[in-house]
Amino acid sequence: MSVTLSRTPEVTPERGNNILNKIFRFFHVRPIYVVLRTMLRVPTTNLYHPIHVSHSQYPYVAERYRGLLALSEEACTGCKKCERICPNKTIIMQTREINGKEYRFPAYFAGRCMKCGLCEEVCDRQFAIRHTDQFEDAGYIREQLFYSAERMFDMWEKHIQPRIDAGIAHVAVPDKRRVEKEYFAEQEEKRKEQDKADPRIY
Amino acid sequence: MSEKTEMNLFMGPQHPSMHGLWSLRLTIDGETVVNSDCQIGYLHRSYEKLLANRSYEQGIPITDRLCYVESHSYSTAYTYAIEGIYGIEAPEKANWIRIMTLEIQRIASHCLWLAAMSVDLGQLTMLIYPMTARELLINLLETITGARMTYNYARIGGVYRDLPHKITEKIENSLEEFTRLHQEFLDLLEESQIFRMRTEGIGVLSKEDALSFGVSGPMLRASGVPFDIRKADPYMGYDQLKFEIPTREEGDSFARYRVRLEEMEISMGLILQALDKYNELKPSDPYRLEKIPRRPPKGRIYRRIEAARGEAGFFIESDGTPSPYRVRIRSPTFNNLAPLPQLIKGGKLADIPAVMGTVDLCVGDLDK
Repeated sequence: MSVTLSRTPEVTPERGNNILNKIFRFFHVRPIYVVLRTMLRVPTTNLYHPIHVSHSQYPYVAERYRGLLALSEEACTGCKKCERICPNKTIIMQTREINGKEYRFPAYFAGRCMKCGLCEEVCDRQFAIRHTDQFEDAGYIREQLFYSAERMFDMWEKHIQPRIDAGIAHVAVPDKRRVEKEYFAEQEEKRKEQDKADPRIY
Repeated sequence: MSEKTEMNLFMGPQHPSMHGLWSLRLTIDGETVVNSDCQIGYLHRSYEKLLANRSYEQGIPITDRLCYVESHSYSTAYTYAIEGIYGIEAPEKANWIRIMTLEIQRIASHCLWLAAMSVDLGQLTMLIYPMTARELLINLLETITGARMTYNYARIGGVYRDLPHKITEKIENSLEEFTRLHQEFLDLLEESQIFRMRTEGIGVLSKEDALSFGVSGPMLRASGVPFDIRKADPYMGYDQLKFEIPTREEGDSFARYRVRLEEMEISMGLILQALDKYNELKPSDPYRLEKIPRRPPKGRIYRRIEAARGEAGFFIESDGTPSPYRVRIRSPTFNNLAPLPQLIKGGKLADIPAVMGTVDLCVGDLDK
C-alpha cells in the first residue's frame, strides 16, 4: 500500500472504501498527519545573498551551467562563426584597429542572449568563446548589459582562467598573441575619461 | 412577468486560476453556467514563422520556449522530426539518454501541474509539496543539461553532451527520495473528503467526445481510451522497455488527476530501465552523429512524440535550403482545451477551476 521504486513499474492502488478510511477522510486524518510530520523536517529552502559566496548555502551551480559569456583574447581568430549561429542575432562583430591592422572580436548584448550555448558549441576549434558560471547579470542601466570584447576578456581572466589553471576546464588552444593587453588598458582609460567629461553617454 | 436573469462574466485574461493569458467568456444564470466561449491568442508569438526563418540548428533553442513547463519534450520532438527529413537515425546511446531526460521532464511537468491544480481548488498547502519534489528532478536535469528550464539539450542526430560521471547514483537517490514524496501527494489530496467531493463526477468527458475532439495524452486515457504514442507508435526504443499504460473509465476530474499521478510512477520505472540500458553500453560509444550536412534533401514529414500533455508533433516541409520551408506544430493543449465549454456547461461556477485544472493548460503551447 505504499509507493515503491522498482524497475518494473507498478501503479499504487487507491486506498479502499472501508469504514475506517471513510472516517479518516471525513476528518482529514492523513493530510494532517503528513503536514505535522513535515514540520519536523529540515527546511528545503536556502538563504541566498551575494555575501554567502563562500558559504555552504550558496546556490548549487552545475558544472555545465551556461552563464555570461567570456572570450579568450589569445584564441579568438574572429571567424564570425558565433555571429552566424546566434539565433537572436545578439552577437555582433566589432572591428578594432590595432597597430594599423583591423581585427574583429565578438561582443554581445546580455539582455537579448538566451544562453542557448550554440556559440560555445560552434567554437570547437579555438575554444575562444565560453560560458562562465556567473548568473548575476542584472543591471541598473541598459549599458551595463552590453558586453564589449574587453569586458568578455575580463570575464575570461576572472572565471575561466582559474579553472584552466586548476585543471577543471578545457585548455584553450593558444594562438599567436596579436592583441596587446596594454593597448586595451589604454583604450579603456581613454574611454573612462571621455565618460567623465561627457556623462550623457550613459 | 418574465425576467431575464442571465448575465455575462469574463474570466481572465488576468485571473489567478487561468494558468496564463487566455479568457473565458461565460454566460451564467445564478451560479449555473449556461454557455461559455474560449478566447485565445493573447500569447501568439508566430512560432511556425520563427522556425521557418531560422536554420534547423537555430530552431532548437526556439522550440524550447514553446512550453516553459516541459521544454525538453518539444525540442526533442523537433529534432526527431528533422532527423526524419535528413533520413538519419540517432545512435543507440543518444536514444537512451533522450528517453531518460524525457521521462524526468514528464514527472517534473506533472509536479508543476499538481501544484497549480491544487491551488486552484484551494488546497494551498499542496503548492509547496510538489515544488519540493520537482526541485529534485530539476537539479538532475541541471547536472545533465546545464540549465534549469530551457535546456537546449537535443541536437540533430543525438544530444548535446554525454551524461556526466556518477549520474547513476544521483538519479537513483533522487528517485528514492521522490517515491517518499509521491506517497505524501496521495495522502494529502486523495485522503481528503473535500478534494473527492470537488472532483468526483465533475467535468465528465465521454469516450466518443474525447475521440471526436482529438484529445490526447492523460486526458484521453482518463476517458477510457488506452492510447499512448509510446505504445501505439513507438519511437526512440520505447518498444524495448516494459511498461503499462494507466487508464481510467470514468472520464471525470478525479480520473484525470489519478491517471497523471499513476503516470509519474510508470515514468520512474522507465528512467531506471533506460539507465540500465545506458550502462550496458561502453563509455566510448557515440552519443551524437558527426558531420551532418547543412542542407537536407527535399521532402515533408510529420513525426510525433508523447509529451506530458499529449501528442506533440512537428510537420516539416523542406525545400532543400538550410531552413525549413514550412513548420506546423501540433500542440496537445489546443485540442485538449476544445471540449472545455462542453465540460463546464450546466455545472456550477465554482467547478470551473476543478475542470480547468485537470485539463493541464500551458498557454505558451496553446497559442504558439
